[in-house]
Amino acid sequence: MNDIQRWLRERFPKARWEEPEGALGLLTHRVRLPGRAARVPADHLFLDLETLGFVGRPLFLIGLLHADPDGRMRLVQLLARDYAEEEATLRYFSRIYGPYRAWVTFNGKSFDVPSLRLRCAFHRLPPVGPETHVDLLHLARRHFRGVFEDCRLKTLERRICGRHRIDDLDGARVPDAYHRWVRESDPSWLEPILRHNRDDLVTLAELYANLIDIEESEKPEEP
Amino acid sequence: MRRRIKITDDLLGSLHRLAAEQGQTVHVQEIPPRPARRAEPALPLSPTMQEALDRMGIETLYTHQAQAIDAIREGRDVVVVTGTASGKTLCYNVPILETAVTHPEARALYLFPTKALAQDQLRTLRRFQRPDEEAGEVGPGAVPGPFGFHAGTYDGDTPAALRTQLRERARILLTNPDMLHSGILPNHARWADFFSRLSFVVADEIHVYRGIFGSHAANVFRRLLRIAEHYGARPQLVFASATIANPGELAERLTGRTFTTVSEDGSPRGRKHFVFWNPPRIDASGLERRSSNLEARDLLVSLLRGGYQAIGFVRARLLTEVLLRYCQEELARDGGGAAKKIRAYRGGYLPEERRAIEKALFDGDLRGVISTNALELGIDVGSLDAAVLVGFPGTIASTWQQAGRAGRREDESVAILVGHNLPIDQYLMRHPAYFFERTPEHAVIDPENPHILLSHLRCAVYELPLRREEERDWGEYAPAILDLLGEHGEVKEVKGRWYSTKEGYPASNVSLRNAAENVYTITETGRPDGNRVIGTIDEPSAFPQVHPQAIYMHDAETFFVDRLDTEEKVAYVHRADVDYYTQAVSDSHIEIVRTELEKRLFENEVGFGDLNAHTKVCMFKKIKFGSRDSIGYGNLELPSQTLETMGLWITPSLESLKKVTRYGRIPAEGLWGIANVLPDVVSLFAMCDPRDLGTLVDSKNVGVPAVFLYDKYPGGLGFAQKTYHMIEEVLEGACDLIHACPCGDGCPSCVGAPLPPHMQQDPDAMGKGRIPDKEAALVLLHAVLGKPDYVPKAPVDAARRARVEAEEAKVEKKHARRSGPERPLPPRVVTPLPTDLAAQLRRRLGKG
Repeated sequence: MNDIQRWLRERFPKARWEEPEGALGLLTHRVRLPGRAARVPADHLFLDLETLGFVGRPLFLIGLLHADPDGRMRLVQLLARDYAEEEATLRYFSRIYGPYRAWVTFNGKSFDVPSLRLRCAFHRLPPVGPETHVDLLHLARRHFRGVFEDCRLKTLERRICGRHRIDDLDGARVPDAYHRWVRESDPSWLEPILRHNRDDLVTLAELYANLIDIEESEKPEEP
Repeated sequence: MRRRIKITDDLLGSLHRLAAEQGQTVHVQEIPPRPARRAEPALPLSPTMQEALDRMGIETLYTHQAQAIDAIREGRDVVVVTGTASGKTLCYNVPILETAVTHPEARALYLFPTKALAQDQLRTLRRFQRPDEEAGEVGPGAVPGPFGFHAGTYDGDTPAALRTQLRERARILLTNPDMLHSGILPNHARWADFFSRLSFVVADEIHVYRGIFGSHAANVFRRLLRIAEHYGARPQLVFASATIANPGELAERLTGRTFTTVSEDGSPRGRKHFVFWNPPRIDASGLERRSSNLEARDLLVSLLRGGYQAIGFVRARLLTEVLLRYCQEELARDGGGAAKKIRAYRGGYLPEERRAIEKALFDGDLRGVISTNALELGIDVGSLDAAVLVGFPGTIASTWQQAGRAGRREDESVAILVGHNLPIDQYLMRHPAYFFERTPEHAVIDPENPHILLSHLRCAVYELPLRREEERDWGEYAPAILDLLGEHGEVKEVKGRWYSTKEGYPASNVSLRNAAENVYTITETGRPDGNRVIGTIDEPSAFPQVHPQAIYMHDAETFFVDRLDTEEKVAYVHRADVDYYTQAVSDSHIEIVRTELEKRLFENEVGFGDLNAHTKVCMFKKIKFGSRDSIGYGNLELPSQTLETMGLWITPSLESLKKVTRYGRIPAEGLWGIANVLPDVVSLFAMCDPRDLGTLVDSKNVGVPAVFLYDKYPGGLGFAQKTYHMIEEVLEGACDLIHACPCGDGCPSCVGAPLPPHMQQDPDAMGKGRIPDKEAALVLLHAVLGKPDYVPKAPVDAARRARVEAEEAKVEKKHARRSGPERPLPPRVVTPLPTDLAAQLRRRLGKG
C-alpha cells in the first residue's frame, strides 16, 4: 500500500481508490442524494473540472456523477496525480465516459466543455463533448435573476439546497493548492480540492432536480 | 497613372548653381544604372498565377524572383536579400499562393515587425485576386478569391469575433512577433488545426531582428517551431531582408536552420545621383551653418515645383512637423492648393490617417511627404523621384534604405543627404568616400543570452512541457536556468519533463523590445463636436513632447498641451495658432545603486553593479518658426524616467588624467572618445547591437570623471557584466580600433559618435558638439592598459589648449577633494541583496 492510499483511507474512509493501469488516480465516493436528485436518466453525466486556471490551461481533476446500472448514484473523481498524468486522465475519461451523451454542468458551456476540447487538442486526442448539454448556470439565471443577489453556485446552494459549506476551498486557490501538492507531495494540499469538487457535484445534482421541477411545473398542462 | 519624369541635367545643374551662389561645395556621386535581368522559373507558373501577374502588369520575373521561386518550390529554407523596391514579396507570395491552390489545407504564417506592415502586405496579397471577386480577407460575408485563400491580419486590434474566424479559416495569417509571442503561442491549443497544417513561415524585414529584439525574436522562432513540431508540422521558412552584411547568418541564428541565400538582385535601377549637400556657412568664423531644416525645405520645395515626387526623411517626429510647416508656408505662395500636396508621416498618426497618406502617395496625388524612418521599412508607397535625407540616419544600411525610396524602374533619381551641423554629419560631408566605401552593418544577435533565455524558457515550459532531451537545444545555460526556475518554484520536473507550476501568463511579462510599450493618446478638447483622439505617442516620448505647455504638432497644425494625465495616459490639447514650437531639455545622469564588483587596472578603477540611468525633462524652450530664435522657456516639474539596469564604470587615476593634460589636452574629451567607441567594440564581445548599450561620462557618482557603459534594458542583460570580465580585451580592442583608424582628428568610425545622439531633438535647437579628442582617448587608453605612454601626434589648436588649463585645474581639485591618489577604494554602497531572479541568475552565472 502506497502513501497516497494510506492517506486516502484515513481521510475518505468510505471511498474506494484505484489506479487504473497505474496511469491515474480514481476515487469513487458513495453519496446519498435527496429525493428526486437520486433519480437521473442513465445517460446523464454531471461533470465538474478542476484546472490550473482559465480555459485552455491544464486540467487535473474530472469530477463525475452518474447513475449506476442498478440505479444507485456514483461519484467518481479522475485525478492526474501529477502534471504528466493529464493525458492518461483524458484518455480514460474518453474511453469510459464517452458513451454518456447528456452532460449537466454549471457554466460548462463557457468553461468545462471548451477546456476539455482544448486539452484534447493539446494532447492531439480526438475531441470529446456531449450531444446535449444542460448548463445549470443558464437555467438558474432564467429563473432566479433578480430573485437572488447573484447566480453563483455558492448562492444557489445556500438559497435552494439550504446548505452552507464551512472550510470550503476558494475556487481561485485551487491551482495553487494543486501545484503545492505536486511540488511537496503533501496530501493535505489535495484533500480540500477533492472535497470542494465532490461538494460541487452533489450541489449540481440537487440543483438539477430543483430546476427540472420548476421547468416542468411551468410547462402547460397536457390535455 | 504616374507621369514618367526624368531627372534631367537641369535638376543637377540647378543644384550646382544654387551651391555656387551660396559658395558651398557639394559632392555628387553617380550610382550607375543597371539593366533588368529577367528569368523564368525552372517550371512554369500555373495559368491562374500567370493571369494574376498579367493583371498586375508583371510580364516576366527578375532573376532573383525566379531563383527564389525555384528554391522555395524545391522545399528549401530561403532568405532573399535584395534592394528596396526589388519585388521581394513576390518571391514568397507566388509559390505560397500556388501551394494554396494545389493544397487547400496548407497554412502560412507571415510575420512582419510592425502592424502597419502586415496590413500593407494584406493589401499586396489582395492584388492577386480578380477585381470581380470578393477580397479573400476573412470577415463577415467574405468569400474565397481566385486562389481560394482567406487571409487576414491578426494583431492587438483584431476584434474577438474575427479572431475566431481567422483561427478557423485563414490560410494566410499576417501578424507580428509580439502577437505571436504573447497571443498565439501561449494559446496554441486553440490554433491546433492551424499549426498542424502549417506549411510556411514567412518573415520579412528580418534585418530589424538584431540586438536585443533579434535575440528575443530568435527564441520566439524556436518556440514557434517547437509548437509546430508538436502538432506534426515542419514549416518551410522564407525570410526576406534589406541589405545587411550577413543576412544568411542572421536567418540561421534566428532559427537554427540552414538557408539558401538569394542575393543577386535582378531588378533594374535607373541612374541615381547621390548628393552630399552641406548647408553653407553663415558667419565669418565658419562655425555656424545655415539650418539644415531650412536647406531641406528649399530642396524639397524646388523638387516639388519641378514636378518631381519627393520624400524627406528626418530623424525625429517633431521635425516632420516643423519641416512640413516650412514647406507648406513656402508652397502656399504658389496657390492652387500646392501646400496640400505635401504631408507628414510618422508614428503617432492614427492608422486611417496613415493609410490615406500611403494611398495618396502611391496614386501620385500627394507630391511630397516628410517622414521619420517609419517609411524606411517596406510599406509600399511606390517609388518616388527624389529622397532628401535631413541628417545622417545613423547607419549605413538605413541611409541606403532611405535613399532607395527614390528611383522607380529605369528612371533616374536623386538622393540628397543634407548634413546637420553635428560632428558625424560634418565628417561625412568632408569625406563622402567614407560612406560609399563602407559595407552595411552586421546584424548581431545572441539568443542564448541567459537573461533573455530565462524569459523564453518560462514561456516555452508554459506552452508545452519541456523534455529533458530538449534542454540543450536552448543553449548551454538552459539546464542551469531550468534548475534555477525550479528552485524558485516556477517549474518542476516530472518524469523527465519540465512543467510550469506557477499560475500567471509568463509571456505577458516579457516584452520583445527594449522600449516601453505604454502608449499615450492625444485628445483634442474644445471642439464643437466634443473631444476627439487625434494621435498617439509612446511613453518615453510623451514627457519630452506633450508635457504641459508644450506645442504638439500634427499635420503641421499647432496644439497647446493643457494637461498630461500620467495615470490615464492621455494628453489633453487644444488647437492654438502659435508661431513657435517647443523643444524639451532633458537632464541625464547615472546613479550607482550597488557596487557588485571592483578591480584595479594599473591604479585605474573599474566597477560593475546596479545602476539607475535617470532622464528628467526639466525645462522647455520656445522656438520661433523660421527665425529659430529662442523666444522663451519654462521650467517643468515632471517625474524622472528611470532605467534600472546594470553597468560598469571606468575611473582613470589622477596620474592617468595628468598624462592627458601634460600634452595640452582635455581628459573629458578623451573619456567621451572612449565612451563613443565602446559600444561598437563591446557589441562584438557581448553579441549585441551597439544601440543596446548606453554610455555616458559623468563625474557625480565617483567624484571624478568616469566612463559609464550600461545595458539599455530593464534589469540588464549581461552585456556590461561580460565587458567587466573582459575589460582589458575590450579596451585593447578600442585602442586598436582608434590606432588603426586612418583619420586625422577622429571620425565616426572611431571616437566620433557612431549613433544618432538625440533622436527626439531638433538640431536647430541643440548645442553644437564636436568630435571628441582622438589623441586624448589614446593617451588614456594606454595609461589604463599599462602600455608605454602614448605621445599624441597631431598638434593642438589654441582654443583647445586654453580650455585644457581650466579643465586641468578642475580635475586636480576634484581628485584632491575626493581621496587622493593613494587612498583606498571608496566605501561600497551596499544595499541588501535583492531576492529577485535577475540577481540570483547573475550570481549563479558568475559562479558557473
